[in-house]
Amino acid sequence: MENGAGIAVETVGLEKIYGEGSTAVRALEDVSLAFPNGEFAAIMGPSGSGKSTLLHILGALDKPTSGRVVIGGTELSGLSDKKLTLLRRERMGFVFQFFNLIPTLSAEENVLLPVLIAGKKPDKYGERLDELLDLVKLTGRRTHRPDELSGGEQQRVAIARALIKFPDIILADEPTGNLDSKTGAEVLGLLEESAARFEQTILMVTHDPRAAATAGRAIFLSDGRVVDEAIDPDQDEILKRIRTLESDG
Amino acid sequence: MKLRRFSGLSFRNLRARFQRTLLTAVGIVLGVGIVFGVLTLSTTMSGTFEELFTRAYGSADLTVTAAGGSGGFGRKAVEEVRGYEGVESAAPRYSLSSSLILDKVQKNGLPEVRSMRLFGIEPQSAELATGFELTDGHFPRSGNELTLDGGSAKNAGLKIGDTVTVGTPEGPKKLKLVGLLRIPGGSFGGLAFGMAPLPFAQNAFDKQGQISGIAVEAADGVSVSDLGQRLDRELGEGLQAERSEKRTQEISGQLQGFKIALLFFAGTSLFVGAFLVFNALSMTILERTRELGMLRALGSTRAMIARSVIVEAILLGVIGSLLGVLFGYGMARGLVYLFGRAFLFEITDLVLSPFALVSAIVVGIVVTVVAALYPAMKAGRVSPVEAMRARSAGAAAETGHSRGPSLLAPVLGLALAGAGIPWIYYLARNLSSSLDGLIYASGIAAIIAAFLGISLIIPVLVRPLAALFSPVLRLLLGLEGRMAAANATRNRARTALTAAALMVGISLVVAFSALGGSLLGSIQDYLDGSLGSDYVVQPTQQNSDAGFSATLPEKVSRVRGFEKATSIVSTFRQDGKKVDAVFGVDQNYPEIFRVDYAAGGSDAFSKLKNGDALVGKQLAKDRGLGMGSRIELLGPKGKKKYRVEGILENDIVGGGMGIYLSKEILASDFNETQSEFLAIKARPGSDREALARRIEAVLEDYPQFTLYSNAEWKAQIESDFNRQYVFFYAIMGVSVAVSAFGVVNTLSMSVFERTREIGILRAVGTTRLQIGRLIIDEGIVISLIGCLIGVALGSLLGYLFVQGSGAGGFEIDFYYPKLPALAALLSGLFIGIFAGLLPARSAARKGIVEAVQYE
Repeated sequence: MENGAGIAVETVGLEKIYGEGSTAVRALEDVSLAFPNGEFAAIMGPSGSGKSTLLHILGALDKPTSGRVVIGGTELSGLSDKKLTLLRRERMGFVFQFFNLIPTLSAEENVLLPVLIAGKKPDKYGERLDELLDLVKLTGRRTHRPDELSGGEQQRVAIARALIKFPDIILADEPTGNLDSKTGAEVLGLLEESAARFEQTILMVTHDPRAAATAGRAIFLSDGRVVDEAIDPDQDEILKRIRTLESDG
Repeated sequence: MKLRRFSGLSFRNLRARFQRTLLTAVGIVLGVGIVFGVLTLSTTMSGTFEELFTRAYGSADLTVTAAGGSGGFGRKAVEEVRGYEGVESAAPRYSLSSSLILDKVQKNGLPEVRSMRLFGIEPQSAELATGFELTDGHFPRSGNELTLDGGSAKNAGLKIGDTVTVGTPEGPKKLKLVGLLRIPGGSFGGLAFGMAPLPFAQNAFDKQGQISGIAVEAADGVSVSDLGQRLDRELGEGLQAERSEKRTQEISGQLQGFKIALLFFAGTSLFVGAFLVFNALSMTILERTRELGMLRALGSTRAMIARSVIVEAILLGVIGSLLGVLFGYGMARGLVYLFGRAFLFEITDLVLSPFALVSAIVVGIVVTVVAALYPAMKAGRVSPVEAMRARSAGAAAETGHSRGPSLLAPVLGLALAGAGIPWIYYLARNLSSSLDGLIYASGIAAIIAAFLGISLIIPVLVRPLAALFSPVLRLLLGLEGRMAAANATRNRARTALTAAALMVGISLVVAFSALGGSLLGSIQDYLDGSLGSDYVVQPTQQNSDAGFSATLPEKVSRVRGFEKATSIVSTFRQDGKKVDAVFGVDQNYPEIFRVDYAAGGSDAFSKLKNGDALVGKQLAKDRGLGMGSRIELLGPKGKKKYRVEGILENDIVGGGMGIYLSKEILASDFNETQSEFLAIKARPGSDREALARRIEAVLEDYPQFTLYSNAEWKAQIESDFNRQYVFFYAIMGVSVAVSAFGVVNTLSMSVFERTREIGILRAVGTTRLQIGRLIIDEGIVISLIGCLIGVALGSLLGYLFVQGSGAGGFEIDFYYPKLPALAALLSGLFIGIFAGLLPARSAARKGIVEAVQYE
């Protein structure tokens, strides 16, 4: 990791407003956060709290209305779409709720997709591919198509895809949202393991207190603001805080 | 095959959506197919014509003809030409329209007749006179000997040594078959081709001492063009010398306009195919919004995404175009066959040109890629955030479209149509008689502008039209009908595009049939109302231009019950690029053909005797001729001038461009004496049937001519029209077929988009049959919108064409094409139903649970 500052992602005074005039919706308001290298953070909050918007901005998928985002020392404001795209390509991995595998590609081709997008030769990633397939326990199913895989297997393919190019940061959007609890736990275990092994920062948006309990820190959002935070939380702690939030709201 | 590159995804996409790919490709396949077919027909036509004319008229270096291009001149010119320095040899010939009369007797008791081009030649120079090769026997030497093309001989069952009957203006003549010729392609366009001794030809056709052409071979080392110029200059004003290939080129040049029109009709299929590609790719992109968002999130640039769509289009274009040319070969065969039937010019061998092949493929790919540009741009614009969205792409798309089309599109559409339609009218009105490439191109551009303009307006019309249909549909089809109408308006842009594609083909068909129907109707009207004759005598074979001399009219005039007759002698006079149709008429002409004058009184006709001329209105307008102006024509006697003594308002024979002289002038100035057309008026109160029988008895000696009553003649003209229309409809029908596939495509997209909705409908108790009908009814709504607008636009275009075409001389009344319009509307219904069948089936078969869970 060449990031000397020790901070993987930092935001200062983020604000995001959708629409204009009377129909304007303030999705984020004055969000300032810092995620050190290697941190596994969960972002929580009820629907409409702005957690997805925050993840989009942290993942350089969307731009804030105002405020700053710095990723690995690079200030994002003012970067062109192309530069942002290249930043995502080089530094980030994504895991989505709906897996988003390409149905026409086999498991290993899906894993190699970021390599192909970067215009690199897939052969050079042969070893890495084997290692990751082994990690996600799909070595025996590498030539299967997504529709021949279970939900858990599909999400494991997606995790391997997120890891293939050694990203600094992994963004996960409800990675367990479409999985049963046992498979969800497996997938989270994998994320945790890889973060530890490859020293990656993981930012995860989730509804699920069990998922959040895996993380090293849980951040709570409500109405676009950071309202609470818990270090090394367990499931009960998280449930308690959510209840407090709900009674406040 | 493992994916090695990002671009490989495009292949996978096409393969994964095989059915869609196929449906989309069908548009390209048919479009490229018909374009290739028409290009091949064009090259084949030119190739065949050129080959035949080269062989028949111009295998020699130079050809000497009468000035103005045709007509007889004195035989003595041959010796003069032979005397020139640099002339190796010279061969005289007389080219005549004749006919082959077979022994076979038809059902009506008359012998079977074949049209024949007969060349009178001299034995010592027979080989040079025409370019056809002798395969058996020898060239005609003397007396009544005949050499015939092998194809016709075989067809008629004739062998060397047999006696052959040949029709001439003086009755049938017996000749002895002495040799066979080989004709490239096996036939002279369905005509027989014969050679006979010059004296026989001159006597039988009453052209004593005359010839119509001299084939000249330059001596070795002599420049052909120098020799040609020298001959042209020195042979005198009445003769001209040209390089033989120039004459051939002129003939094929005359086909240009026809070819451009065909190509335009064929091109509309590709245009419509482009709509299909646009629609299908736009839909693919909507379906794949989340996937595209994911690719963007993973670091694909906008350009990469856009490029992948273009690659998809290129693949689609390449596959479609390759299949298209394969398919197009079959279409070309069909077109050549229909062309032969429509225009009585048989072509047996297809000429496949690399140009047609390459250009059809290139055009197919280019059109596909151009249609993909906008969808590709849209694909690049998909936000990476879409990867995280939970909603299905279809739902997102619908809300996106519910804002409706912007105001810009209909305004632009109005502007385009507003510019295009008046321009079409202007062109048709003022320039229809002098179409050259540029005017043609601008006319086609105007039609395309009108199509595009209306297409842009259609989205605004979808809702009102659907609302208009809605109560009717509810009445006819129940609740599903009403829901279907509402569904059709949900994605207005797509419905509009699909309907627009259908509109193009339908409006062309309607416009074209309006023009044809009006022309036919007006001609028939004229025959009913204004023609003063009761019977006409015309060549039996429609592809014949056989003529008759004064003998035939004279015999007919002696028949009891005969009142009067008029016949017309015609010739074309060429001067540079200008070609004039000149008619020789007699004093009976105005009594049989009603003549209205735009200028000059009713005595104008009698002035023809003095060597003056009457001209058609359009010609007068084009050349700026007025009363007393002089027109100049080239002929074997040199340049002759005629004073204009009248301008015809209704020049039915010359279509507004005719020049009328007296028969005596045509005989003296152009050596043209044979008529092709005789109109006969019965004496009032006489027994018509008896008269017809008596005339038919006279015609027994002239089986190459047939007597028609006005009713028969009308029917004949109608069947000619219909035959030619089948040919054009076949080409235009392809674009209708392509757009029908577009409806299938759109409906399957609707089904895909509404999987969840269909599941819900099924869950609350809608039957499969009802779901299926919902889809079919939507198809009917879409295609009815297309056909309705197509009929409206087609009627307007047809009206403009008719107004324009009538300007020249023969005023055409607008006959509304009721039947074609009705057929077009019905076809809308059928296209809707048939296009809906498959999508409806797949909609009805969706499992309820699966559909409801569908993302």
